[in-house]
Amino acid sequence: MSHASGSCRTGVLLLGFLISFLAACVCVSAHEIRPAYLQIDQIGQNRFNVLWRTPILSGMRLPVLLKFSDGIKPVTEQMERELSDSVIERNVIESPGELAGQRIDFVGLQATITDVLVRVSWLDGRKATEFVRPAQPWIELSDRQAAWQLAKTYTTLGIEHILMGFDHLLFVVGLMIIVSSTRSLIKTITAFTVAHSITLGLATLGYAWVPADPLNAAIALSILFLGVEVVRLWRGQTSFTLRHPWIVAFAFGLLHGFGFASGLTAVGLPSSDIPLALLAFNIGVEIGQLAFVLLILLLHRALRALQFDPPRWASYAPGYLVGSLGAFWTIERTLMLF
Amino acid sequence: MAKLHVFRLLLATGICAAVVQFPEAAFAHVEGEAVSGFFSGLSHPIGGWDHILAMIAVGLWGALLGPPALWILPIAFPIAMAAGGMLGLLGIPVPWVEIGIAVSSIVLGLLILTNMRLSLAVAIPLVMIFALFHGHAHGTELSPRADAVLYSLGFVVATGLLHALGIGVGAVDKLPMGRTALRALGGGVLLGGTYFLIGAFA
Amino acid sequence: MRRSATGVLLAVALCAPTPSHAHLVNSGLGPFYDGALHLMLTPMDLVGLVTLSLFAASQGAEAGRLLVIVTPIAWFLAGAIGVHSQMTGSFAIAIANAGTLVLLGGSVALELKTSSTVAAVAAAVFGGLLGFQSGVELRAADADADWVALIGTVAAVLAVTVLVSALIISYTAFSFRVVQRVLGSWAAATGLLSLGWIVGSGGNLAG
Repeated sequence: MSHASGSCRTGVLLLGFLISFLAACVCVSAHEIRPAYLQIDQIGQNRFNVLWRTPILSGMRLPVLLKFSDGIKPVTEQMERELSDSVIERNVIESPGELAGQRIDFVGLQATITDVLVRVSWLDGRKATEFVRPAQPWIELSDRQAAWQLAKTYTTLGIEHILMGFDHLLFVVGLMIIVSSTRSLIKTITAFTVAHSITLGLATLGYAWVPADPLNAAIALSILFLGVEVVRLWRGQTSFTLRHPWIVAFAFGLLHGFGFASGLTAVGLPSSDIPLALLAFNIGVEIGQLAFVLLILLLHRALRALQFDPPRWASYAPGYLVGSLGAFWTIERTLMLF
Repeated sequence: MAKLHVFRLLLATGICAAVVQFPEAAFAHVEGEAVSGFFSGLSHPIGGWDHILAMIAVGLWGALLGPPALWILPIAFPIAMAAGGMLGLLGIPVPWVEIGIAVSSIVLGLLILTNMRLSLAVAIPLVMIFALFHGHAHGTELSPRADAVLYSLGFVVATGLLHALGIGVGAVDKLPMGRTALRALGGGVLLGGTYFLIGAFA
Repeated sequence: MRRSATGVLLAVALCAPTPSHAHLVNSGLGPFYDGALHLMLTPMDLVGLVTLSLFAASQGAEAGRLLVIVTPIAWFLAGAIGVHSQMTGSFAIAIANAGTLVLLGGSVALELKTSSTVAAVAAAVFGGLLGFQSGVELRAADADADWVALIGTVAAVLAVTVLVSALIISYTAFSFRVVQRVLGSWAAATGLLSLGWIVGSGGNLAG
């Protein structure tokens, strides 16, 4: 869509604006959001195992306290274990009546940006998974869960993951800069989607596994790679990537899929319905990605309608951003390997 | 082409009617409290038949007069109505409001029934005065609330949709015998207005 | 058909603030998106911004370009002041914002023509007013996340001005101009009613 020929520079300028804002945001609040996790398993008539895992963010514990309804009492000492990135607390609770319908408050959650994934399983095999968000920091336990609710939970999670995944979005921006037509754009984005769906599925179902640190470095490298191609495009040169962007999108898409999978497994999957959760998460990722692509396209067209004539440096900004951030992350994440 | 046009207008009318009639039901799943301001605003103008009648009649009359009145009247009406509403909210009295509202339906009904073609210079002020009465009546009924902007917006949009409903129904004008049907509708508005006038005195 | 679709889009843009929250909504995506969402869900801010865009862009492409550049900057500067002021809400600003709607909406409804300089000044002044109010709200809602949230809001402001002004500049058909004028009239009417409300309640609802 946007070759660096004069008429299309406006679109590139727009991308520059947008990305600068995003970059500013990411620089200020650069951290992955990892949800907290509460698991409640029935072990006896009225007894339940409780596992409460909270992330440690830059050395800080999550300032959130669990508060059960009045009747519920702990029957064992609380056991606590601190890992490198999270704290795990365990104990056993006893509920006077049915646990369903009881309420759990997450005191302090509203002051954070952390979500809590709550999973409850009963001895008879019933399971329920639900998200608690800072906007409504409590949950009423339910012993039934409709499939659509599970799907909704994981779709939202997928949307969040892609919209917070700045590196994935930047890769998509890079792809959008180097494609030459709408047809090529559709083909490229589809290839990226298919590829990352494949590896997301394989990794989540346990058929494939990639260690996290090299993976992150490789994803950064894929962005740097696109930066190089953008420069090639500016110089009027051509390359295999510029002629067939979809093949490159597919190849690197396989890589990004592993990245999505790590996001999904960090949250955990409901053992009851892994395929549904996976599908919903994948759909969420695609919704987020599509919305992002459409927004960029819309703004690109709109800026062209406004007939901006930006200076040369401004039209190069998005390309530079893709390249330099790609390079920066590649170095940073490679150093983390050692 | 003309037929298609009429069909599209009628379709739009149907949608408008549906939105105005069943707002709460249609959007019940959206966060309740937050939306309530918009929808209570949206449903206020349709709370009284005297108001509904007059606003639809403005649309009908616009359709009968054709462009530019067709679209100028729905631009003028909301502003004057809001000005009346503001006076009502501020507690500034306007005389003969109840009678004015009933008279507005009667006059508009008569204009449609007799197919009177007033010039814009007369039609616009006339409609704006009616709008002022209607707005004032609403304004005095409203109590302070936190979501004032949303409520106002809903209120204005509902008014616009009622005009659109009138314009949509007025599209029958393009059909054979449509003009007669439209004038008959004007008669209906006239009857309704008379009923409300009697009510205003009783 | 395309025209009517655009009209619907514009109408949706005006009607979108349906689910409103007085406070910062938690998007679950961190302060940047919270800030962007804040604009979309604050009726006064969004309606004001769309009306300002309608007004400026109907003065032509040059005015549209100025709008797109000036408004976000003014919004950011005034928003930064708002974030750092100790105010919790201002009667005067609330009245000014409602008055803005009346003024700009009325101009759109009457299809008043002016120079692009005037449009740019309007963008600076009214963008600043809206931005200040928005900054105060951001701070009131979340004292920690205000800077990033402000940047998020400004990004959304940029997107809205770009989209609305491009829409208006691209579609000059008569029926689309009528839609524009009707929307202007609705904005002015909303502003008048809000004025009545704010003044009538003695400022208790300001902010």
